[in-house]
Amino acid sequence: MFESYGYRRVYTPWFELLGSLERGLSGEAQARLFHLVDPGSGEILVLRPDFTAQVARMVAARMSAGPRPLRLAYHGRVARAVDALGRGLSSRDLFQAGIELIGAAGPVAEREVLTIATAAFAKLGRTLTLDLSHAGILAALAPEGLDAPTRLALSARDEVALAQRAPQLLPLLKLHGGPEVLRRAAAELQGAPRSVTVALEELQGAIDGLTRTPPTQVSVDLAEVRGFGDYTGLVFRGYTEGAADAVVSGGRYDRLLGRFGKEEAAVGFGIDVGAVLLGQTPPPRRGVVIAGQPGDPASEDAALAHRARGEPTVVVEPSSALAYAEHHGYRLLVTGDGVERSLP
Amino acid sequence: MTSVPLRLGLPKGRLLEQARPLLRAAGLDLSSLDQQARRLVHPVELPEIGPAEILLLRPSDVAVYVAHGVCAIGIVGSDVLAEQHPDVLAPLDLKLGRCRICLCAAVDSDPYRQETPRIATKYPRIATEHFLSLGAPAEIVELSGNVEIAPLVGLADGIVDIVETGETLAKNGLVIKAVLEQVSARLIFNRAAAKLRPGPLSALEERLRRAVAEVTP
Repeated sequence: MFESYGYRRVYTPWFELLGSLERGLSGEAQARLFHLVDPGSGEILVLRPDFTAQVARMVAARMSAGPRPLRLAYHGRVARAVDALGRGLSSRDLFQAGIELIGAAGPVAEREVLTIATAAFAKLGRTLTLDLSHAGILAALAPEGLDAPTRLALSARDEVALAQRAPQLLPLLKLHGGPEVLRRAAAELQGAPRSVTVALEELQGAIDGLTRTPPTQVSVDLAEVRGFGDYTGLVFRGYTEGAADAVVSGGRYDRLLGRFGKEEAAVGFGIDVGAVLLGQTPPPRRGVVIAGQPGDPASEDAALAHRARGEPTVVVEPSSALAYAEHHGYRLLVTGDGVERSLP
Repeated sequence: MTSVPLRLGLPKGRLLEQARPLLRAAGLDLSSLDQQARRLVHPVELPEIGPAEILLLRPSDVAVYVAHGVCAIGIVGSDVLAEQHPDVLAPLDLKLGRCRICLCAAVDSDPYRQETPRIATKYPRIATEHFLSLGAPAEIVELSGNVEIAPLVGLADGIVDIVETGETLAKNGLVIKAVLEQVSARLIFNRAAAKLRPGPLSALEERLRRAVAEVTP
């Protein structure tokens, strides 16, 4: 899917030395690492918690020269320990697929990744709702950072707890809804530092011109501050029917590459593939079962002909061929005399 | 994708009884709950939103149903939120079911001055975090109810529990030593539901917000 947009697959190790990955991970991400001990050397290893830091390191080490932007895609398993507060109900062994667009700043790059996220879901026959936020707003309103309970109160829209802990952030709780929220935000956050205006303009820039193909559903939530980690600008999540929380998570992280080498603009996202497939209807029946003796030349020839047309095909003993085809989701059964039977 | 019905998880028991006037003021017709008192799933018509389903749940389970997305909406005591830390939105204080979570013990005993006090509670996480925040170790004994008995019979040096009027405490010879949390009922939303069905959820939140303002002096 990502290849059709010109993204090239890269491969990264699924466990590695803690020391070689550490500086690419935010404190938040480090707290969720799975640790192992290398039985040979006694050194600490970690299972990869996501791909972004590994891809950033790869780019800094091996692709620092050459034209920009770079379009890179990945997929594979990632492991996460449950976070310190014990939240998070998804399993800890996740299958993630995503892209990184490196060396491209500005709204055009952001629209490219948002569009690809939407297209990936459209291909599955699903609708993705993209929910946008911006790391610069919180950085401006709470420059000294937020402690964990305050961050939690903000992201839970808990006005009682937030009023006690950081009342200056209360306006953010109402700033969620359609793209028109950005206009309301500009009015409500008028006294805020100039960087807030810049952030709102960047969000507007990412949204403008998005709505062509595929049609993109966009909302804005300026109180969504979960997992801000290394993001420096646009932050977004994607939601789809059938999953209890976001299934896409991404954003702009212009400073991460600098920790491995030269600083570069970068934006990307990862999809929690398992959570998406949970809500997926079973795929339609496909492929052909030929009822015949395996090895019988006529049956094998017939199988080859079906395979040449791109159909997965298998030759099965006549006595069990029907049951096999039904159970494993084949669409067609071909019996000895060439009679074809479609399966519902 | 077949669309799931909009579900509302309500806590069976005292909190629901206290919430009824508020829900009625917000325009919810709860007559099905009275007519078929033993059913756990009830149809309901939400004003401006349309048909939905009410699930009657154990109070401590409501947040679980909402976090997993089975219910889009729930009503839950903030004690449950403090104990379970479910990853849900909690946008509105309903200002009912008010009480406190307290550390209680016999008048002549002081769990804070004991080396490693034994604390009986239905709230192991709140109790543990409280003593950790003081840098003091405590041994937590988890019980499911009638916690007040524990100090009387030597199972624990003190309890961490909900205190509403203080009557049960007094009858069992216990006093409040510290207030750990103020508790009240909250409206909660599933995170994905808040993004995928923002219209209906905000409409209900606004109706309840107005109802809270009317009902609460």
